[in-house]
Amino acid sequence: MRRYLPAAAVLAGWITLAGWWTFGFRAFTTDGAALAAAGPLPRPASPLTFIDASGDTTTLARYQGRYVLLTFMYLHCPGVCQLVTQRLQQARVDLAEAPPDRLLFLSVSLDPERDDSTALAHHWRALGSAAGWVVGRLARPLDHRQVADLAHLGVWVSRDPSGRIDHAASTFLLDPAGNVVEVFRPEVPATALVAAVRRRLS
Amino acid sequence: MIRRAAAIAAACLLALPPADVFLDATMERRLLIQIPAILVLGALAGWPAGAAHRPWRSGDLAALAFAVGAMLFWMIPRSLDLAARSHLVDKALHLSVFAVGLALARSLPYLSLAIPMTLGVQATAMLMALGIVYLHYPGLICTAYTLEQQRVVGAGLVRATPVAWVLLWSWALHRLAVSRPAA
Repeated sequence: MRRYLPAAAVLAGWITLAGWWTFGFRAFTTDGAALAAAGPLPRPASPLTFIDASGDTTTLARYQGRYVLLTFMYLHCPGVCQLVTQRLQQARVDLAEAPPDRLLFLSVSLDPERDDSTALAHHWRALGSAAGWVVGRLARPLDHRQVADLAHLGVWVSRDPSGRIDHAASTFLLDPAGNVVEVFRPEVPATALVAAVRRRLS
Repeated sequence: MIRRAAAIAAACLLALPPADVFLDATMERRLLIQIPAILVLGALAGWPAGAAHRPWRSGDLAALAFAVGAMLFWMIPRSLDLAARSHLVDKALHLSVFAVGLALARSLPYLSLAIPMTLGVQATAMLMALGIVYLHYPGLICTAYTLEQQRVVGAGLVRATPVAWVLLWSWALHRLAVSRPAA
């Protein structure tokens, strides 16, 4: 029996490491780990300060009292942001019955240095200039403190030297009290997102 | 001795710039070329020179447990993401994969054929399953790469699995052919 002990010890070590790394075998992806680290739903959304397309500084708390579909993106994003935006555009059309004072779409750029107010205003016009859709950029640069603040929300961000920003592409649904109540992974189709939001609105 | 030195030198070439920069740049280069190559080079460096005729030791089983655990850890998408974003973790990945090759070479020849075959069949089945998931899952699994690269890796793994299957059974038949009949 003692011959098997070293192998058992090695396996136990790996299982312990993998269990810790995956939050108890619940989160295997970077997205999943960020959400698991932020805590179970519903949870209060951490404070977020951003500058909207007209150049005004505002906070997430300002939009309490209505549901908010919050997404993070940046205008130079090579792939997933465009797919997520397309999905949200589809959802916006399907949820046209919900007025802006009940449901707000909020897209926040993670690249405040490059995505200035002019570029964001152009993006907002491209989205159809909808009253129920606010576009903005982080009020602070994407430094360690900002990354840590975003992590409290369940958003991971990583910027490489070339300027590419890898980030969580999930959409967060905040209820009127300012709690994150649902998170939609980027692969969730618009129809499922719309159905979930309708359930909440009703 | 020459084989061992050549395997170590080749692994270093793959794990250091400029080859490392090129191979790390896309998911398919990393997962379909760099990691398998370093694994095979580790096995080449550690494979016993002569025929393997000695009873198994507890260290052989521990080495196999290390190899299985390390490969499972690096199959976690979050681990691969971290390796893609941190040079330090990237080096840990290279070193541990080489060590996995060494550990397999130091354990498989001495263990009962049933053990490596069971693990081998499981591993090839997992490769195929992973390939199918990468190929058809609509979202990004490893966020450091793109969806297109993920699909290429999926297709590559699906195609590589039958090759791995043939290699596994060829090795098993070879080992059966050269093993001495029980006394």
